Amino acid sequence: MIVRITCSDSPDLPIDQVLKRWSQTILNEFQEQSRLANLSVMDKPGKEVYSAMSSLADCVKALNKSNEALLELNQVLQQKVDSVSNKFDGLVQQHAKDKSTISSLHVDNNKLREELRRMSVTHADQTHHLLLTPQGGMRNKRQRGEYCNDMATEDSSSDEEVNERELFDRGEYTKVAEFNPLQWSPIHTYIALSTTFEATNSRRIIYGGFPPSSPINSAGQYETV
Amino acid sequence: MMAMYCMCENGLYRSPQQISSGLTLAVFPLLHGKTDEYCSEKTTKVIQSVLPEQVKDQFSAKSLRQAGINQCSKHPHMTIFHLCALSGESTQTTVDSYLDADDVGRGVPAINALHKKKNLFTPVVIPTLDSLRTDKESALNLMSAIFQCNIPKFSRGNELYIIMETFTASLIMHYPQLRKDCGADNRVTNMLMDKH
Repeated sequence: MIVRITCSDSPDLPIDQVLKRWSQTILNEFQEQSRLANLSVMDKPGKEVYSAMSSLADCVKALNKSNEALLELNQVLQQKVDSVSNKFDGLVQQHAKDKSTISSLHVDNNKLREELRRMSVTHADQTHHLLLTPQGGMRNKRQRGEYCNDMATEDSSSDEEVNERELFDRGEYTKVAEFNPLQWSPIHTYIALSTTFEATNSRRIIYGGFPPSSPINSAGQYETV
Repeated sequence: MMAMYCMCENGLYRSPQQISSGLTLAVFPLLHGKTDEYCSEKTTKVIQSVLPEQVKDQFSAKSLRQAGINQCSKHPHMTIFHLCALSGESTQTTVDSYLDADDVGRGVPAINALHKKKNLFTPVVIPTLDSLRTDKESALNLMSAIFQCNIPKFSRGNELYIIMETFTASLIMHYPQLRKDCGADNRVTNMLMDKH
């Protein structure tokens, strides 16, 4: 004969679990009835002792339940700790990878710095060579422009100097010297002559001022002798 | 023990020959009419078959009675009457002829002694399916499946029906311990599990 047995609390339990649950229910009732039966045949002192022992047993049971709950809680905490530990391990590994990457970037950066420094030196050498041409300046307007552009990116010229440089780039201004009558000397005359000679008629030469005996006429042209 | 016998060996089923021989209410129809020596020899063979070779000759069917009587005799309140009521021994007095041999209640004090009760007159408590309350009907269905019974006194509503209920409750109550002691694959567990 095949029958279907179910547990009213949990209809889907397998038969083994149903039997275990029923067993626990019957056993609990059996133990309670046995306790009452033992109590029924005791005298008064015996009942008092039994009552005290029973109370103690209840306390022990309660402690056992608390311990079980704590054990379960410990297991949950253990799982959480394991999870956090795993995450921490992952972060440590990630940190090691990042550190390695940063280290390699530092190496690359140093190489780039070295390369930049080398290029700067090379460029400075080239610029210095251009400045040392027989004409005492740059060969042509294009090279002057490049030089001025390079300088504009890194120097700290004053506004006045910048304006002068722009005028110079446009070919409108060639500053020969600041005139100070007290400091005028033959060398100033020589510079003025040589610069004017080089500029010929294509540039307008502006002086900061002229001495009364200057060979420059009122139109700003140098009067050749 | 009796519950396992009734479930596994069809202890509540009587063949037509047994019924016609008047063995309907005999507890062990197979042993009916056999001599004490025959039963003792059978029991001794079973006991010695499971014992180690070195010690098996030291035990026999009598060992079972020795164990029970010794255990009972250690109880401080045990008397010869209580002891003999359970063991069936004679008190060697004329009182024997006045004692009711059919009164199983006389064996309760000795049973309590075997169960280590301090008071020999503690009421006997038995497991019951009433503890299951709403699940009792389901358990009764299981009971009707595991016991093959054709004895009218064990049918529902008759006086021995409660015994079959007690058998079922006892089998269920001891089921976890049985599985723990004998493993999941034993005859009693299989009989319980194969019925659904």
